[in-house]
Amino acid sequence: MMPRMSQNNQHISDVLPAYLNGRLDAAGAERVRAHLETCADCRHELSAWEAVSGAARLASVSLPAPSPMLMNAVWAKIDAQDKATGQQKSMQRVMYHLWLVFTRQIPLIHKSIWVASILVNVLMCVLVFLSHASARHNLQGVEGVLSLFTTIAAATGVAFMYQAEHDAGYEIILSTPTSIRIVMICRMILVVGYNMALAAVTSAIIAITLGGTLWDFMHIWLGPMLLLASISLTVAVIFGSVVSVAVSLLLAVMQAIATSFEQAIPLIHVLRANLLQTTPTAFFIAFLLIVFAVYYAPRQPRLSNS
Amino acid sequence: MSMGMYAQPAEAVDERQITRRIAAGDREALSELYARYQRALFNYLLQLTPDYGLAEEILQDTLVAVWKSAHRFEGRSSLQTWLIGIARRQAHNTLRRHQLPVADETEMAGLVATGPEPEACTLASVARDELAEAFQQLAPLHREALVLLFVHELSYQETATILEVPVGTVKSRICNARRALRAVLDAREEAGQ
Repeated sequence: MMPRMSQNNQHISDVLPAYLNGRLDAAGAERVRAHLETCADCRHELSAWEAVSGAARLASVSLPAPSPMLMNAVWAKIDAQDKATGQQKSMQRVMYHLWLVFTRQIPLIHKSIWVASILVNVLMCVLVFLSHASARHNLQGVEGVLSLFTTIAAATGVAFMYQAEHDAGYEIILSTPTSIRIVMICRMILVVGYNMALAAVTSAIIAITLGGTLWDFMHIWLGPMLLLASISLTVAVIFGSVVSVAVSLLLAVMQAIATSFEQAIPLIHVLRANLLQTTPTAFFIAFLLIVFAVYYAPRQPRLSNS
Repeated sequence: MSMGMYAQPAEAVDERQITRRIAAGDREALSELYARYQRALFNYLLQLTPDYGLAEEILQDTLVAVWKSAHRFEGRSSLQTWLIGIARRQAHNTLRRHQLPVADETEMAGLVATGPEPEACTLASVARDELAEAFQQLAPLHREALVLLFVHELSYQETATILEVPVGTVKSRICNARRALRAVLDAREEAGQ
């Protein structure tokens, strides 16, 4: 460091601390020495800095040392952080594995399930367009048909999404270590989500065509679709796909059946009023049924265990 | 490299080598670094907080941070400057977390001393013990600058790097610290009379 100093009697206060520390280069230090010889003010200034420096050093000498065990605490912190990082990484691996399982189900699910749902929804749209004029006066009828068809499409899809005799990929799944429960939840989300998306699009088209809000049409099928899909899954897991489809159809028809029958058969009234609507009860029962089906699923024979 | 009163000239440590070993996961290297710099770092931290336990906690966090970031040390500053810089940041984080006052950078501007102080000769005549006691009563901001400069024997530039301020601010800060020391001594003298 080249100090600013005196060839012209300028004082050198600000370089004195650096001079004191021996942080000036040889030439700089020599100039300071030369200036100090001729300048009493700067000599006093240097003594003051020496006093300050001495005070700082003396105060530091009396300071305690850190605990001899301090490094143990450091290693404990480092190990704890390494462990936390490891857990975070394994969590990321689990999430990635789940994502892979989820996306790989798309090609494994029987193609007819995807196609059938599209056909049902296209049919619905065509029917509404063809009977445009009369449909406008008979919104209830349109809602009933929408609810019946979309619900049946979802329930049937669910019934066939997970059964050995209808699933070529089933054998492969059974021979992998991936949990059947995880596979089932992924497929349920995929099939029901797919059907809900399609039904929502159809509802939007109908709402635009006939007037009304999206929710006017969505609440007709949302609860029944989830409930019937969960019933369908449970029955399929226990009794097989065919029985499941039969039960779903029966329930869907009961949902759509004319009001006059409700007075004759109280069960239909109870079902229609409480369950086959978009109500919290319907969601709760659907949830319980899915939990049961997921719990029950691994009881089916697994190739990987045999 | 200067370590001031903590210098151990017999142990010539290759600064880049020791940080490379730490970056490679060599635990012994971190222990070596700790053995060499523990007093310097702990002394510095005790200027920022009088709480011995808290200073130890910050020192632990500093070493954990060194363990994690040793690969970033490129030798642009000396190892001691780098270590004290890390310790300072850890200290500020911890003090803020405990809602304790942090040595604040906002100080009175325009107090840069350019010439000799009128009290220059009297400060030199005060007894050493009395000076050391008065030093302990200074604000952390002032003690910090004086310790870096006179105890760790860092240059203005190195001190400025650690404090994250311009060199001119370091110069004015130590002049202010000296004035504050004088004021403490005057106050003690008055109280004693």
